[in-house]
Amino acid sequence: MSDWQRIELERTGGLAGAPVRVHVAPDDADAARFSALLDGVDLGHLQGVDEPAGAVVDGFSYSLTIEAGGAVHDLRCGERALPEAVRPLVRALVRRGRARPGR
Amino acid sequence: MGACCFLPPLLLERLVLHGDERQRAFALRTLATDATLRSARLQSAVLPRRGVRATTGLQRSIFDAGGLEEQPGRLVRSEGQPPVGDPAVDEAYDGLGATYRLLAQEFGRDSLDDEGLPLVATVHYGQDYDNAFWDGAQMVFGDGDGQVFLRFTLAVEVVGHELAHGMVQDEAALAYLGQSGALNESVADVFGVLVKQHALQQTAEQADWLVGAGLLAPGVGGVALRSMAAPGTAYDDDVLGKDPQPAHMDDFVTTATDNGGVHINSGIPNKAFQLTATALGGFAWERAGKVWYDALRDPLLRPTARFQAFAAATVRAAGPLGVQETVADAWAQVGVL
Repeated sequence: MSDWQRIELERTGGLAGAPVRVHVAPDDADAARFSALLDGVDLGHLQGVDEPAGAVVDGFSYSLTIEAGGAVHDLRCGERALPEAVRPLVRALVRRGRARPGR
Repeated sequence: MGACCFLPPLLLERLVLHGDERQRAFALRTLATDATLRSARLQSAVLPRRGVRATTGLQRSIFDAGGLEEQPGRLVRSEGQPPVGDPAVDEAYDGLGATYRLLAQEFGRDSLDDEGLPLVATVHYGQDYDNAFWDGAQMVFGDGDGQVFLRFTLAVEVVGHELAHGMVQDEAALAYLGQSGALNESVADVFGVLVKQHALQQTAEQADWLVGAGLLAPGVGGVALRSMAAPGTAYDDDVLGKDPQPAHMDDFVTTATDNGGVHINSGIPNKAFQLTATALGGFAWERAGKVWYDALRDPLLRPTARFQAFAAATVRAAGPLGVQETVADAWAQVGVL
């Protein structure tokens, strides 16, 4: 999918409690790769499965925002509830957020 | 109280999670007064129900997820078997043993539930997985990404931390949200570092009071995930950011993320424990640890307890040991009492 305006991920919680925040814009050097990762995602049905707070103690919490085709799609969920289709995208975003410049 | 009998705990949990402030307050109040809470709790996952167990004692099983996000994975080491040569497997096995020994030898407790619950851990969970967690029945450890975090079994206090969540779940069932969630995290840190100090036979003065020492990859600016002696100073790094933990109520962090900052504000009760332990001196598990353990088991402590309620429970528990003033003073120093 190439018709997107922004991708944002915030991952909080986890044992370490150190958040990961990533923002990707269409002029990003890796935009084509993120477009490819978005291909498998059904934005119209982007939702996690509800789970109670602390179902996974020390688990991650995700907030993913994708703006595409003029609409904003939000997903907020715990790590167990993260839909299979968005996991490759989320993994790539976390890797981006934790990349050390010059390595 | 009228509504409590008609609202099932699951609905109340949904209100806690998704309701507005008034609904959330109502749901938490109702849950707190609901006698079924101890079994339903705020967590969907509860310890597996146990029938009559033929044997009690240390029973460890280590599984290998092989890089998948699946549990438990393949059984690779059972109780009594020799080391397998995979550091993650053997560290997990040893960490479970160290935790069991602290609880059994110093607190007279037979495993996490005091009924000999077998200890189960999964290692090599996921790809580059930067975490360890307790899922309500077992521990799970990732290998880290190698860039920021190394494997999570490296630090025995992290193994102890995850196991302590199981004990908290079995005793006070502190709700994993806001201040009660930060207490849940703090108690896990307290028993995590006690596992390490006990294994090394360190006094409060000798201990480093770090959680996750050695977990940060080479080149990362920091020494650990958290510092109980100096919350907020464990790391300061370009990629990881700065350790956000406060050490005093004046700096309490209000946030919607991380279940209301459970891994952030735990710095405040963490510091209260460290102050108590160092003021009392000697082995921290002997007096400070005993006080915190008895507070965790105090029947007056509610799952929704805030810092002040937990502090009050520790002061009550300090009575028989004659250390009430020391404990109250520690909580005063962090601005809770």
